[in-house]
Amino acid sequence: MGPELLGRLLDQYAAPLELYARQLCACPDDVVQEAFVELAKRRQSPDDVAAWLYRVVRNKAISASRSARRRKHYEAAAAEQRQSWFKATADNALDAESAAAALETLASEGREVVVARVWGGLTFQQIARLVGTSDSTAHRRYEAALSILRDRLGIRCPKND
Amino acid sequence: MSEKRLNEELAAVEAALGSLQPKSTALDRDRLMFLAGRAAAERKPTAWLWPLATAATTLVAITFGTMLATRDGPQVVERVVYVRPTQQADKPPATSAELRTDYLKLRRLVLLQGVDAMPEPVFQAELAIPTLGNRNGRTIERLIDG
Repeated sequence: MGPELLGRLLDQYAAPLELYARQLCACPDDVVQEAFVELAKRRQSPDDVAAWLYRVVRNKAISASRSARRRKHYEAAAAEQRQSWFKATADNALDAESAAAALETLASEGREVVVARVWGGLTFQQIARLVGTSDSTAHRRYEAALSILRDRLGIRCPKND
Repeated sequence: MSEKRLNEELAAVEAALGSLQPKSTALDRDRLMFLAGRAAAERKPTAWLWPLATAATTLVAITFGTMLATRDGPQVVERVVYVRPTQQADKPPATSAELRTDYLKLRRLVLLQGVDAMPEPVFQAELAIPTLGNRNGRTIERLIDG
């Protein structure tokens, strides 16, 4: 894999992957970096690069989370990094910190699906393979999580306004 | 497979969330590119050669060791062997006189046919006693017997 392609993949996936890894461990940057280094080591690029990256990041993040739990630093580190999940720009339809806090309250299964879908752009089929469930279950978790976020963030349908 | 559609309310939530851009906080792009380049350079095409050779020789050694440990002893093959009599056996048997004088012939006869095939021994007593002072054709015994 050439540096140009790797650079493009970094631009496209690094930040969403880091956000995804942050849902699972306290060292998302390390996990994402290891995943990209592992990608560079491969003789051939995987067929579905996005799905491959998410799967590797997930496995590494879970492994890192287990180690972190043993060291009992995970909760403190996660609390420190919560406010920096999203860029604060004028174009945002939501307040970045409020959205991060609302996401934090979701169950881990639902939060993982929302992050992979909204910011990772994965299909429900890819998400189902990633988390080891069926497409319909992934979709159901997504809808349930969005419903909770709608209530917590007070988002209304534009047609109802 | 087509993706399932969300209702309008949830689609609005999805769109609002999608307007947020994830922030990459601590990922060092330059360091990552350096590590990726080094990892790609370390990937040698013959890296698998020595592990493969080691595995192959180990497999061969295990195979031969197993064969050596489980092999049977030499196999016994039974078969009928026809032995043609030698030309010497076709010869006419030696006469008793020959056997008495030729030890090798006597020995061979005994080995082939057993002790019973030996010619009757000739005792000295049965031999004609030389006449001593043979007079009128009479032997000593006759002279003794009167």
